[in-house]
Amino acid sequence: MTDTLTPPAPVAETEPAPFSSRITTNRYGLLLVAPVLVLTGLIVVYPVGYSLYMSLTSSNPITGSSRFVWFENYTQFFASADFWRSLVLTLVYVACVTVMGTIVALGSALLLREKFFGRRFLMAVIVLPWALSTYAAAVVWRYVYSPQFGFSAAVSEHLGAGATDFLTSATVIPALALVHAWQFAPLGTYFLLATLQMVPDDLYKLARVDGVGLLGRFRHITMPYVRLPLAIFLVLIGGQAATAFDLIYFLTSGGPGGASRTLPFLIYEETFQDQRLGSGAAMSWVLLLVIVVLTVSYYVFALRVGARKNKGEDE
Amino acid sequence: MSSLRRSVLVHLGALVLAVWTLVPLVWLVLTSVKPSNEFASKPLRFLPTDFDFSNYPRLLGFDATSPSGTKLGPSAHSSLIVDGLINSAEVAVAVTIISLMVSVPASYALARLNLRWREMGLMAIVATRAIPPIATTIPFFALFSTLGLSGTRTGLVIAHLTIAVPLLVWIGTSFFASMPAGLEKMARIDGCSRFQAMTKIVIPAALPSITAMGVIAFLTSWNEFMFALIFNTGSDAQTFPSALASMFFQVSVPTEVAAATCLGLLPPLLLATVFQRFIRKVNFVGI
Repeated sequence: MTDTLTPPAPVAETEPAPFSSRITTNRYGLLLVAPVLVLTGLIVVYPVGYSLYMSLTSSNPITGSSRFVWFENYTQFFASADFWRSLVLTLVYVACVTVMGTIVALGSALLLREKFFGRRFLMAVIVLPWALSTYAAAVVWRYVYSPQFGFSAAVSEHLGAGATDFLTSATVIPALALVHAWQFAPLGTYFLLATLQMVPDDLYKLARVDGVGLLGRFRHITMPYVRLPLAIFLVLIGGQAATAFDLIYFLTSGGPGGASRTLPFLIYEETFQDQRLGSGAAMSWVLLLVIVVLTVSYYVFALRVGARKNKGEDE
Repeated sequence: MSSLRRSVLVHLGALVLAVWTLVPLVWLVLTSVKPSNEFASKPLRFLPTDFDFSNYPRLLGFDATSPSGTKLGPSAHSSLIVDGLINSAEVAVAVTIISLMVSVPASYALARLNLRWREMGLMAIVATRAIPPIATTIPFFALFSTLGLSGTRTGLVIAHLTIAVPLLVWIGTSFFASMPAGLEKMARIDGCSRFQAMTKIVIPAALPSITAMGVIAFLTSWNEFMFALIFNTGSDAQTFPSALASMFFQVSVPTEVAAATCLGLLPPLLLATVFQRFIRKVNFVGI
């Protein structure tokens, strides 16, 4: 190579290509994803499979021995009134959380769409409840609800009413649902607000000129826009509510008298207090089924309402 | 509706939203600084007559003086809370490091390589998030009892990885997918191998996003309650949430519990504030 005009040969061609460049893309990708796949397999797939097996066994808490009982666990709790009560409480709780969460999220998103003094401050602080861990939110509300030193007691005293306890059996489910909505609504507010800001203001003005009332404008302009983010929010908060444990543990521990013993809490008691692991595992499969049914029905509901709306607009 | 009436209504609504959001939090902080003889006074006061910050040093194991001049020793629960905070930090740091190590390459591959099974792989990883924690708690409890992992930090780290890794892969994939296409091609032209294109070019460019992933992993572990309660309550490896639960359900002074809760909220709030400009990029729809 005496001729200076000849460019030097690229190094890569004289040396063997590095390992990562020699293998096919699919293999290289598999190599990078492998740790996660192994980890997911070991720590998720295995426990789930094991839990399915456990749900078909009955173990003796004293000797630790277990025997295979097929579906005895399932038939046993299907026959117990406590289980059905818990299932109903779970559904009522999910319904309360969904309704309250939607009202708060949609209300605050519509409000934050307006211009007002302190809007930037409010935008920043509404995320705080969502940033808390759930157990901390539960402690926070324990201090709001406490009849001895709670904020609600202080307010009702100053209004001249006696201290009221919101965590009695009649009101405990809505009271818990309110805390849940307080914590998770900000997520929905952000979803909905991002969408609402895309709605052109002119649409509202035109509708007003045409004499469409407030409710009509909400139904025909706002709703079609927020349908999808609302559906996502409903699925998320519904799933959260169906598996809620931290809140119930700190605020009521399932009480009073089992009035707030939803399925996750019943599973906790069955498994870790009464040491019936098989039965607890079986119930957790029922809970999983409940969540799947809820998620699918929320999606179907949202999509059906959507389809009907779109059809109405075409006609 | 006249614009004045509308404006008044909007401001009223904003006031209601601010009160609804902030009052519970402010009440907890106020309770934590009320003198211990005053928090349940009749009638209840909204603001304390004296601000008493002594609960905070006392929970951390120091002596303190109350505003009335009384010398007070450390709180009876101080070792519970301090050990809990330290254990929580150790577990959360381990979870952050391990979950970043496995999920950064994986989300890079899922986002930027043209893989045949890309969609399926991502779905399989993300679908594990749908499993309710109580359903995985039971098999883990049985498994950990057999392996001697219950009541250890290692066990809790493993349990937290089941939540953190799928979450990080989901967020990370959307991060890497949003970076300009062709980064790798340029790196390859400059003589990088395929692996170096990732480690020397793409990952350094993605550092802000990876920081956000790290913060989210830390917070996920720090905030997790059920595994912490069931596996580690009463052991040396008890983390903050279960320490707080023990304190909460034992005989304890409510103002001290309030202060302990505030202490546990400080690390995540500090992290979230310091790194908020990174976190704001996260696509939260998947969470």
